[in-house]
Amino acid sequence: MKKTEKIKEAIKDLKEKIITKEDLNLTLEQINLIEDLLFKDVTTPLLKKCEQKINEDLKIIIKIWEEEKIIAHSPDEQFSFFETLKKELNHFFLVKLEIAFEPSRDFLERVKDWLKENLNQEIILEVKKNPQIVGGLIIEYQGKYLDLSLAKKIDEIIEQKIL
Amino acid sequence: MNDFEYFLRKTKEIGYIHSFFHSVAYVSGLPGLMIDEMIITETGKKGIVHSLKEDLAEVLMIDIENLVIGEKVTRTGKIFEIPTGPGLLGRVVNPLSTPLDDLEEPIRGEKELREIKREAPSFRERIRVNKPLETGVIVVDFLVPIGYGQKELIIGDSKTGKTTFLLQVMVSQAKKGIICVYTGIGKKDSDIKLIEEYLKKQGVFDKTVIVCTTPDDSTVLNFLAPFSGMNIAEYFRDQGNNVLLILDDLTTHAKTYREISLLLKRPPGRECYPGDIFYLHASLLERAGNIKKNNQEVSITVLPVAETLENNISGFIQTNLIAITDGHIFFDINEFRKGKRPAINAFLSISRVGNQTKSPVEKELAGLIRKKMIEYQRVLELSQFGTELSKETQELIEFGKRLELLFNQEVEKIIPCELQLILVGLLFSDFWTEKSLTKMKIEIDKIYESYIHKGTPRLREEIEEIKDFSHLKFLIKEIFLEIEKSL
Repeated sequence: MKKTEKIKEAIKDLKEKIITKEDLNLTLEQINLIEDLLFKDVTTPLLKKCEQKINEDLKIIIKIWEEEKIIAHSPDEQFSFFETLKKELNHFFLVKLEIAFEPSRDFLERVKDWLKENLNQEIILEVKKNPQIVGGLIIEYQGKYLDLSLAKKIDEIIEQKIL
Repeated sequence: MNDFEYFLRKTKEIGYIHSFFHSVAYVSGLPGLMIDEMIITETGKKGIVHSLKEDLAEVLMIDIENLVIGEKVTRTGKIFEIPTGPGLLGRVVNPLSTPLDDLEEPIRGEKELREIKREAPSFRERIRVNKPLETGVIVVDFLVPIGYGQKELIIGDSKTGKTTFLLQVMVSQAKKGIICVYTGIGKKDSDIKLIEEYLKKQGVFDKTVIVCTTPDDSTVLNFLAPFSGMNIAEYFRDQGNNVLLILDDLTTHAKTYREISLLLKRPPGRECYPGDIFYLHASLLERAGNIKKNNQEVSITVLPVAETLENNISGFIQTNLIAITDGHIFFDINEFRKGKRPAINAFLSISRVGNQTKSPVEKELAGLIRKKMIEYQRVLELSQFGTELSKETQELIEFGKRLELLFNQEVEKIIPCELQLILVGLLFSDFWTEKSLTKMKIEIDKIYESYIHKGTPRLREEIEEIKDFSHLKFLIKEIFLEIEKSL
């Protein structure tokens, strides 16, 4: 596999691990921290330099990248790699979800996969817990608003019955 | 469920306030948004979509108090509309039809929501301007006549009597049952109050709607004012009425639009006005006119006002409006300083379609008056050299002075067309030749009072039958002694 393809694959892997907007913000924040450290103590390997400042998931990814030589050794090349990575990460489409309960990570992963497949876009989720919708969910995507909540259904039934 | 939730469920589109600057908000989302569509925020604030960019929409917010970035916005699917209805008569409202008067009660009666920006009537609907609109001001009715459905610009410096003239026209027309809509753009509260009181005093307020904004109102509200006035006028026209619409004034409106355009970072053109200012005013004024609706002729006569500075009518907005309208009445500051009331410069005023509405005798008289006025102006200049003047020249000057006196008209006096013909007929029949100017003035006042209070239907009928100037002279001779006795 060529190096460019390896880089693309690496970015794809990272993107799959990002599910929510919070994940994205945290990842971008950590990439910024890594960038700050790139030009300090250039002889030390990257992972060693930043292992105290980044979370476990990113540590594992960087370790694989270093082993497979996806990340170059020179700080300049490393910097341009992370800049490309940041740009790529900013190309997500945001899908806002309003749900009545606190969702688990697994649940969100499944929702993301389903939406990704159906919308055919790289997406991230912004989830808001709103018990007032009772059940179901409200989706916002690219200015479209879809209210699939139970509260709306109940309202409609009441309106029909009364009117 | 509030309006926001209702429209959100209806349109299924959501957006957010991305940023805002003065009264302009940039909104993201809302993929199906249209130009001029009304949007509503989650706190109930309304705005009008001005333009659409790739990712953002530029929205003119009517209310920006406590607006926050990130506030939810939804479409309404409707072009911005305001309530109109017969309940607006005798009320002072803002461009959103919210009452501003002291009545402290809402607009009553049936209401119809109408889009604020509508297309002008097509040429198939339009008909020729064919009926004269009586202003009650002699100099205008003879020399710059206006017809129903005409667009006549009122142009002049500030404080030259433009609004006074417009009020005279409104009173004259309202007394004939015409609906009058006065739109004051960026007017002082005190000025609006004076207009309201004047109309009430004249007993015509119930035939009038005053739409106004003050300089304290938001730029967007000021921008909407003439559209709102036109919208209300169109409502009454569609109900089968003839309407007189006054837009006081469009130079202030142009300044408001310039402010908005500069906020929207549009490239400034001449005098910093945006390039589409001509289109904006032309599309607004084009909505007036004489049309045939359900086999009935109905009209909106529009009298837009333009303000000048030291008689300079070559400004950008002024020339635009002159080009858009069917003529203009020029209020000359120099004539005003000389004490002429109304300070209309008949030589620089023009009515392009009004003449076709006048009767042959009125046209003949107008021609005679114009000729006499030109001669008078010429000999008046010559007489200033102090040379000895011939008897003929002296007579001409005396006649000119009498003509000027006749054209000098107080604010309260609204002279009906028949009386105008009698007075001009008397002047041309040498009724006042041997009398002093003071006596002439007293006699004019007496004739006016007697005509207004007693009313002479027989005379009115006879005057309506007059075909030419010789016929008028004949009639004047008949009533000559009668008038002399009554004085």
